Amino acid sequence: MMALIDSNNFYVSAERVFQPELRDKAGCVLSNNDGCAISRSNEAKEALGIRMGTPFFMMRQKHESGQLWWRSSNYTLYQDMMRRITQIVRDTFPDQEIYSIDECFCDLSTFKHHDLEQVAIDLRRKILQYTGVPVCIGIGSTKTLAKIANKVAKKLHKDTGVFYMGNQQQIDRALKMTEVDDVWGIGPRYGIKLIKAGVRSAFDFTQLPEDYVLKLMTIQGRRTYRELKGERCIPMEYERPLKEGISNARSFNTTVTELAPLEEALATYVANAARKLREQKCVCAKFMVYAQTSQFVIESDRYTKDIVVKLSTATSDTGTLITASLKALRRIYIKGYRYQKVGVELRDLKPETQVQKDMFSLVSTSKFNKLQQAMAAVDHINKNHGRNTIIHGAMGFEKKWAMRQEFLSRKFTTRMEDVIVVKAI
Amino acid sequence: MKEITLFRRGTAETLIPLYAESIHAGFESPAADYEEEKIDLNAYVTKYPAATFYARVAGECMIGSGIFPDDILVVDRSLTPNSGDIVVGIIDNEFILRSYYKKNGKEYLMPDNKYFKPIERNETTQFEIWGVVPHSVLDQRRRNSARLNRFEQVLRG
Repeated sequence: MMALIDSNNFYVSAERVFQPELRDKAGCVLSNNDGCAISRSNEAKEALGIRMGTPFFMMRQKHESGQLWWRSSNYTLYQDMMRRITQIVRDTFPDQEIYSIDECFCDLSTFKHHDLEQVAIDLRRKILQYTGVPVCIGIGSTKTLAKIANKVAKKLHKDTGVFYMGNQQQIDRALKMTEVDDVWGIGPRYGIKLIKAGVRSAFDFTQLPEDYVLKLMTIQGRRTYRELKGERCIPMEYERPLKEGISNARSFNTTVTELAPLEEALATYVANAARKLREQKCVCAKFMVYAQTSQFVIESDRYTKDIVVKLSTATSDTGTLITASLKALRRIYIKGYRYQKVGVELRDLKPETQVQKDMFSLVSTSKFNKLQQAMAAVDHINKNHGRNTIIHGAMGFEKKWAMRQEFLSRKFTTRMEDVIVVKAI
Repeated sequence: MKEITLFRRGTAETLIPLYAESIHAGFESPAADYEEEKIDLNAYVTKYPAATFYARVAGECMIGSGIFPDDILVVDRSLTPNSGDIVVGIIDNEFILRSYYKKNGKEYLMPDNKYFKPIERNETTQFEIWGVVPHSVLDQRRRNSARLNRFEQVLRG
């Protein structure tokens, strides 16, 4: 059997663990730049009708009248809470694949002689007690069925938070209450096609002839079809494959016309990407830099340009990457446009052990090693003393362009000065 | 999409190291075989890292237990509160520090300072226990002036 463990309204739940005043009240967590709702409490969904992506300005009145609380997204906090939850899950179910920040799959094949439903109920209770975050656990014979079981658990088994889809009768019932476009792997595009063809529920989908599914939706669709019928087609991915590319970019809170702030922003994104690159113990020799204006302005004010840069030797050194990316930015920057976004995408990542040196390379081995040591030291300091303790000057200090996070909560779990305050009065 | 290649200008200084590692000379330490791991205070105070959080104290109601304002608390949510444990509780959506006390079927959150009153769980007062405090960290040098005041009183008789 397979299990899918999924945190309920994860960002909202994580905020509530450390801010009890937010409990039982409608609230949401906002996207980057405080643009729209990306995680909502049940009260916000049910009583206020707030949806995924409801924009900030449409919620403003409810916020001002005190009906709705909101927070900027505090990814440092969510990442730490996720790490805790996955650790607790791993202690019970060791065969684990982290699928996203709030979901993980577990392969339960080794648990043949256990009462899996009870094991899952105990695990759910343990996660809630240890971290304060409520989760739901769905168990089915394939990943796709586990996903469906999880949704059923959320809807119908709020008390235990667990749904174990053990027999065919339970599977059929669950498939009948699942709309076809809600099935993992089908998505809205094929969903529309299927609904047009009269296929409404996941159950209807499983009743189609396999050839028809293959013709309509290619091999991917057939994989989902077989998974729904209980045949394992999607394997566990224990080791995340090396990321093919790392990108880092955010929209500005206002538009930017001058080159200097664009450079600061780009240098900051490059530094973030380079840090991720080093975390994966990788180097890259190729990256793309781009700059763009808003797409919602008249055509003569619209501009999008990208440029690909090749380095003679692959590197993960922040300074080298910043220097090269700023040169590229200056090539594509045209004065007069109101830019909304710049970004970088590192490509062709390779493990750092496979660095192939260009025979003309001017960076000596000893210098390469020194740069690596220096970056390792910077990473170490920034990890222990906060992300921006040591920065490259090119990243700037004022950051007028930076992400808007007006409603950010504290970093309760990762910074000593931000821990919860307990009243002894 | 344009592609540009950047080369660095400068002098060629590709050096090949003569020795990859430094040469060991002299005698190896006779104690090398006896080396052990360092003492890890984290491991000492943390039973289950995924369930361990930290908190800071505001107020003096637990002074009898040696917990002073601004002390750091280790809060372990994996522990079930026993009578006598120091706990972080929640009352009226606020974190409070008390000791959990259970007697004759009644549950209390007790202060450890005679100037504060016990809190009894009943219909009007509900509380929840957020976590158990197995350790607290007191910065002793911050208490120096208070200590010196007491010493002066002692010497004055």
